[in-house]
Amino acid sequence: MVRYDSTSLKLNKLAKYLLLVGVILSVVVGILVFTGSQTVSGLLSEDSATENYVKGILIAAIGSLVTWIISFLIKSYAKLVQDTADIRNGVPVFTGKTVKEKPLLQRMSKYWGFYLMFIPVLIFVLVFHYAPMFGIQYAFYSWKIVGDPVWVGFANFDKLFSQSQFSVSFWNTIEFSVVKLLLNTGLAVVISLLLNEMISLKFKKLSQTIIYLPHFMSWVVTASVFSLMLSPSGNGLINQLLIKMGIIDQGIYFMADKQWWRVWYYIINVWRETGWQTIIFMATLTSIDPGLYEAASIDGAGRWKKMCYVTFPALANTIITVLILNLAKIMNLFESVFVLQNDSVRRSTNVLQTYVYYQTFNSGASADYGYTTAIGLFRSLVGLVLMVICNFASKKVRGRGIM
Amino acid sequence: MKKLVAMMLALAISLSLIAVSAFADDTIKIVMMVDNTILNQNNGRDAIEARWEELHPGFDLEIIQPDHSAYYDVLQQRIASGDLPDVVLLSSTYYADYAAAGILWDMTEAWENSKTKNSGRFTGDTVFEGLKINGKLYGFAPTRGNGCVTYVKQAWLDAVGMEAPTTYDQYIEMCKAFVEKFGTYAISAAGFVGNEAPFVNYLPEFYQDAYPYFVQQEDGTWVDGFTLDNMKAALQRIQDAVAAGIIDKETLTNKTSDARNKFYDDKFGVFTYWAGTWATNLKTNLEAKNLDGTLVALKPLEGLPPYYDRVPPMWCITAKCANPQAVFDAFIDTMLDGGDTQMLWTYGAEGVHWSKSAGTVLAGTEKEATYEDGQFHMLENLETAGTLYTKNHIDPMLALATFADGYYDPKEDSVKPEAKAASELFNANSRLASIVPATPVLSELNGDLTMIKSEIIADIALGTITVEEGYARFAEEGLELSNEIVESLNAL
Repeated sequence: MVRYDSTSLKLNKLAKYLLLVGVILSVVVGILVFTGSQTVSGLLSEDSATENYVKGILIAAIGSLVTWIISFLIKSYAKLVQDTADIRNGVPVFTGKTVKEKPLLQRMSKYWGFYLMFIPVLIFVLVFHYAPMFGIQYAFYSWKIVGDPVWVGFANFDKLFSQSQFSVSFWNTIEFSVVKLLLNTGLAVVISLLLNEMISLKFKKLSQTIIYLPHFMSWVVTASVFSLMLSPSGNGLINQLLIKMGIIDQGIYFMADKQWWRVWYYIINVWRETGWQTIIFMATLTSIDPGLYEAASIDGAGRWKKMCYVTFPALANTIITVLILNLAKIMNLFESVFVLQNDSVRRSTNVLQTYVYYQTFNSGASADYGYTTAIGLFRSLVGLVLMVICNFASKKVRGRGIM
Repeated sequence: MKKLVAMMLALAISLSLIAVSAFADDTIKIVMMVDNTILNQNNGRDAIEARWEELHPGFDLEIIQPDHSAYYDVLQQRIASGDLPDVVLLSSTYYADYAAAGILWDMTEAWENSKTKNSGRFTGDTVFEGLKINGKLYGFAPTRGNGCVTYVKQAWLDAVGMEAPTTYDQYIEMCKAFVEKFGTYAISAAGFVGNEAPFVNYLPEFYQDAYPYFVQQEDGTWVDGFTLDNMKAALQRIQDAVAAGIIDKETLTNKTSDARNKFYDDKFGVFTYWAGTWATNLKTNLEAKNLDGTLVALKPLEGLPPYYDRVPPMWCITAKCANPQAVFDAFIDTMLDGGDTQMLWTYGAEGVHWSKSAGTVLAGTEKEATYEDGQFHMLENLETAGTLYTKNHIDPMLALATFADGYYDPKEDSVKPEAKAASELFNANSRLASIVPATPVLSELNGDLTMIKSEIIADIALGTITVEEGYARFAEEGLELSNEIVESLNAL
């Protein structure tokens, strides 16, 4: 019989009431601001009704979110306390084994060195990842650093969605990332399978080293190398090969052509990243039980059959994991696109981050940081949605989430 | 207990002394913020600061010098937090913006009454006229911004038996002769259009009087230069030249280093590049490849406007400065004093960056040189061993005031003749690129508009669309943005 720890029960109650009170309070304050109550809105500012309207919604939403996070943390701690109490009381926890264990704080004090080492990381994360989040408020202002920010509500988002260049950039971000992800993962699997079939260990290692190397080149160097290789002049290796083979009469200016640019963007990405991605698949392949191959051989399976029925199924889970983990990162695309762009293709190849860059540094005046923050916020929201989807997919496929 | 009382007393006395000295001290502190255009901490900046304070008793100079690439980020963070320095160095974009925002001190009157302006040595009146925004001056530039001149390889001219051109027709004939003789393009550059003012400085012979940015006409109204007929004609000239193989079509994807390397590899013979020190760099790099390094710097072709002079970075006093006139007098009005302070800003501190004492520099290297007592020479770089300092903040070839009569000007001995010649040619044949005032509409729309213009210029240059098609695209996608910006500028 489970004995409930009184501290745990209290903490759970506290979390429940805190959530209830916090949400109600946030909504009430939000409504007060929304209706323009002098008491509350006076504390915030003396701006227009529109500002109060948006601020009211934001206060209610952010307040509720913050309360939910605090409540979640308290509940988690309550569970920890309960588990510790259960262990103390001989109730099976986690592993099903009955273990007499010391209280949490005592255990923590035993490993104080690790916790001490963790503090800089924690501070770093809080200062550089969490504190800057307060900057998202500028998405609702027009702010050019000089002077006070001017409240504009959702005007930045209005502008954002009305700009054709923004939608081009958004869809390019999705397209480039997804195609890149599928190509890189697909080819990494194929190369891993091929490498796995190699009999000569020396040749296998040499091949692995060669295909890993491009990953360590910076994108700037990669762009320079490929701009030389793709040159339409007599120095361009690719064009010269095509001319020598009689496929074309004169050099194609690949990087200035909007269609060819995309093709080469994917090729360059595959060249640079696929080799590196094979590492994870090679690791999975080495962990396959050799007994499965022996059993397949006894059953009369050849190399092809073994690959289809033993190797590939063993890789499937890893492939899905890699796809899921990378899907959450698809909004982070900048350097690879930026270094390969030029005036002729820039507008048709912009991704969200390059668009922000040009809005910030190409305006001929100080940029409106409110607008660029709005783009960043939108990008983050899309990223968040993708993360949630990936988390859900991961739970379904792997039995555990990524968050 | 006794110990505690003794410690408390000692602390109290120390604090009192500090407080008294603080109140008694009437030193004016100047907090100055600058990028790496003055020698940094590792290169003896403290010696510069100490020497400046020695030359200006009663002032305490504090130099804040963030990492060069992060300069404007740090500056903007300070502005955002209200912690403005007294003096800042600003590029033209930020200058116009900050002036419009009212955070720069109007130094028009101070400048008119300044010692520098009325010294008789000052040569930058036209430059300073160009720095004014609506008739008001908010910044001081000790130098020109510098710009590009067109260099032609003498060896290529000799090979085709031609003289340096003086008209556009001769120029095109020369280029065609180069293409025919060498089987390669005659001209290459880094981009068909630049991404900052003065946008057209790498292909001035083709752009001529056209300018793809906002320009103020004689009647004071603003127009978008891209919409004018002269721009259409310029783009047609560029398209024709690319089609004829005169201009390297890879100009589109060239970085400046690519263009330079092609020039050093003798891939082309006509290169529009920076005046001054770069004339020497181009020459020595060609010679390093066993090529003839003789270059002819062309004057602007007959009937064509002068070269564009980039807007120089400016020293500005912020509105937060408690005593702007005193700071102007001590810091700005002495920068080109024709004497010790100008020497300090131009060459650095004596004994650290330069010397007149007998000695040997770069001992044990190929560049080892020995100087006699009294002979001016630059000293070895503290950060990069094996190289010598060349200057501090002011480039001696671009300075807007000469040294005072009788004061030794080391420029004559330290500047190479080809660099001096190119610099003098440029200074005599250049005009300042205009400063466009900042408006919220400009800030909001110009990023998109610039991308549209650049794309159209690139596509026309490569011949993928005609000039007419390019302008039809502009009418559809960019004209509205352009008109809104022009309207905002004319409303100022």
